[in-house]
Amino acid sequence: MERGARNNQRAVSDAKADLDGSLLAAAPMTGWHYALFLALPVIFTMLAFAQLGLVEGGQLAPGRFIPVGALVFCLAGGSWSLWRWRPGHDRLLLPLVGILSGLGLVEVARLAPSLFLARQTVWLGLSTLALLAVALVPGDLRWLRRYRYTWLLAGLALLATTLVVGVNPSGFGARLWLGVGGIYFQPSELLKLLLLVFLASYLEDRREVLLHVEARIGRWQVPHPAYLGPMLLMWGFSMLMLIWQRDLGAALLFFGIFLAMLYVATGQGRYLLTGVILLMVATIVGYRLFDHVALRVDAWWNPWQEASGRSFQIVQSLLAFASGGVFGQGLGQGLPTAIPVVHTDFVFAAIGEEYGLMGALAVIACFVLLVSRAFHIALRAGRAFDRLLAAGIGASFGLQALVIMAGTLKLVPLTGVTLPFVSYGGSSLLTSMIMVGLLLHVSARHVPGNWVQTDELIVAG
Amino acid sequence: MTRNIQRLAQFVLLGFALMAASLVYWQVVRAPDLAARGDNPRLVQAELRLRRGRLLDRYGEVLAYSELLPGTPETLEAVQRRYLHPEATHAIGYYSLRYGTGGAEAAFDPLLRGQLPWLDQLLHRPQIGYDATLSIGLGAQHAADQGLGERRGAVLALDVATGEVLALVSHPAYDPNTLDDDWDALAEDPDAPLLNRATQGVYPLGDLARLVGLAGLFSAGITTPLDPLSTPLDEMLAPLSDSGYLATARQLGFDAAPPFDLLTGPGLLPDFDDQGTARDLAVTPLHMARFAAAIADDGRLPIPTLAYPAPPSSWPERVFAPSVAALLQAHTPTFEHMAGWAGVATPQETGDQPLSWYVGYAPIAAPRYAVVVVVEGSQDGQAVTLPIARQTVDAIQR
Repeated sequence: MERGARNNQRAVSDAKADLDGSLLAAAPMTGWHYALFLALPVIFTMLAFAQLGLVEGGQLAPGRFIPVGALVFCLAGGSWSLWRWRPGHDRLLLPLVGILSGLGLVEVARLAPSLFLARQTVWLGLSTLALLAVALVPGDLRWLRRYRYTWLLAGLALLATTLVVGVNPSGFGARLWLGVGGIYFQPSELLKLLLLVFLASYLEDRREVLLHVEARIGRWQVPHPAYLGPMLLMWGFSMLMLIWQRDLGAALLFFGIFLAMLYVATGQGRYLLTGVILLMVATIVGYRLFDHVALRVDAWWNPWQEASGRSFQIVQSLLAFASGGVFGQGLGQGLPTAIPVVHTDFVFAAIGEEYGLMGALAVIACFVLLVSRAFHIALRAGRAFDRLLAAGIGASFGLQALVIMAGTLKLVPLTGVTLPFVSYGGSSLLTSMIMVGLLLHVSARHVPGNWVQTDELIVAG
Repeated sequence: MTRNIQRLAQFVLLGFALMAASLVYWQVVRAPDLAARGDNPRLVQAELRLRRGRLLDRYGEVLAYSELLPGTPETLEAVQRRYLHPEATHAIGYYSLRYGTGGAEAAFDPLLRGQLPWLDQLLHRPQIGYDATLSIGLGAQHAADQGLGERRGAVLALDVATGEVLALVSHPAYDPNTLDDDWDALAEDPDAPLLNRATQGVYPLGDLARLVGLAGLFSAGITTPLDPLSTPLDEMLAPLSDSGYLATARQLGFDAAPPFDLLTGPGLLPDFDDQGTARDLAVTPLHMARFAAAIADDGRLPIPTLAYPAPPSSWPERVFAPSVAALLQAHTPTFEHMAGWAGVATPQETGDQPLSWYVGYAPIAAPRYAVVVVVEGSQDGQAVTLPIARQTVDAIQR
């Protein structure tokens, strides 16, 4: 206990130094600064749409700027509402979301048929409303915590429904969508959200047990059932997604989020190791048993041998990156459309080709900022639930962006997850916006100077 | 929990740093070799936008040009290569997205493609190539083409002083406008229409071995009193010996590929140890055209070129003394305004069909043009080859 207390003291002082020394955390932002930050995404998106119009049509049709108008409307409405009713909210989140979803609109306009742009614009509006609804919910998020098993059951029911009546809008491939009247929704996105909420609540509740109770079998110290149970459950859950739904990306992401949050709650590296080993076992088993897993792993391990066959996508992706070079070909002037389904899975390769290394690094920087903000909010939050939730959201954004970026860059086998805010896809945009809404909610309730007063001290004491 | 969150944040940020490093690897380190990969669709796209320069004959007539086809909303604007003169096909060659380039299209490819300055590359302006002027003349091409008619064979005419190729015809030929569709059939055709016989066809000399032997004899100082046209070949070559004959062939450059813009190859020297005879010496029409030019121009072996004007580096090499050239000229049969040697190679020598040669120069008094005619499958010698040579020379002089 003595040592634990010292450790916690040190952790607390480290966190304090981190926060005080950080420019981002310390920056006081006036209304004018905020307006300037919000103008950047608008200016970028407007210029990009103008460039796209000039390159493709040689003229500037006013109709082309409707998505920009929608973005302006969303950002203005969002910032005004937040400024009015959530004065303490994190000032960087909305500009970051704005620039990423503005880039998303530009890339959809560039890469996908024109109907897709209209859909994405409508989804942007709906998602912004959802973000505001979540961010402006009065009180704290107690109701989210309280009904955790309801969320879990809802998630499982959603998954079961998809297993039974799932469809794929393109008519082939993994059936991961639910369709009603021509509108498709990907339940795994909502599932991710429910999982984050459930895990935050569950881990907050069981933290003390997890930290202090150990099980032994003879001489061997083994993971307590309180760890092992949920871990095996999550692992089984991910395997289920992998096997029945063939959703490699979601399975990986879910398990990753679970491990990240477990680590945040307990700080036990060995359980992280156990999880990684389980993941590797799953990969090897999947490789041996399932053709769709083997196909992706083979296509990834040595793409050059079958560059025109099953490795076509990844090779085309790398060729796109190479063609971009440092400065890029310029928006509308590369050939990213040579990559199949470029507007969802390979939007990062399209950015790499047309905006070059500079643009791709800028996108990475945006994600780094977004994730950093999420973790900062987690560090400053008062309640363990809020901390776990914010850290989980940060890990979710980070892991999802990393998984798809690494997939397009041939670092890991390709999995079909979206690049948050940027890839085409309504479900993904909606979920990401709700997650940002939660972050805003948590950040707005932060009381300056209050952050050290956490359960850390209670545990230590 | 604070420390755990910080560790997790470090882990995730480390992941993004890895992405940045990976981006640098693919976009900077590996970019050049990936960009050059043959299966990169950007190469085809760039090629489709390339405004390739025109090919012109020595008088400025257009032989080949690129036509800009307007793009549709689905496809970008594209360029189509057009060829106007089938009589010059083997000199011009072809340009095909699928099969690459051949002939002058290959020889002058860098010039025809041009270069795009850095700023224009940045602005995605189409690359515009330069025109290339060939040394051939359409009139001579037409005459040689007409002269050969439907027969298989080749005609090659050189300017003896500069080495410029004035006419280059090979039959059968192909249509470079429809090459992509015809390629498979052309490649399998037993008559080998894709083969440029003027530079790549290696033909046994047959009767013309006499001419090579005579050059060797005169160079060795043996001004034989025998009549070179009627003395049996073995008797005539006796003072020279086999090794002397081979040395002469090497001296004339027959054992090497002539330096030329188009694809060509070395001749085949006879193997006297294995029942070979002087008549088996096999060379391309280009070799013989250079030899004829050396006879006509004081023993100077020209460096042939398809460019007009000839590049200044083409300094001819002297392969025999002017006195030898004068002796050879004195012994060369003449007909009207042409001097030259006709001959036949028998099926035993060719291994297949007979063929007829004519190697000559004109005008007789002050030679300016060397001309070589080969007709496959003909034993008529001078009767079939001389008219073709004369027509060609007449067209050049016109």
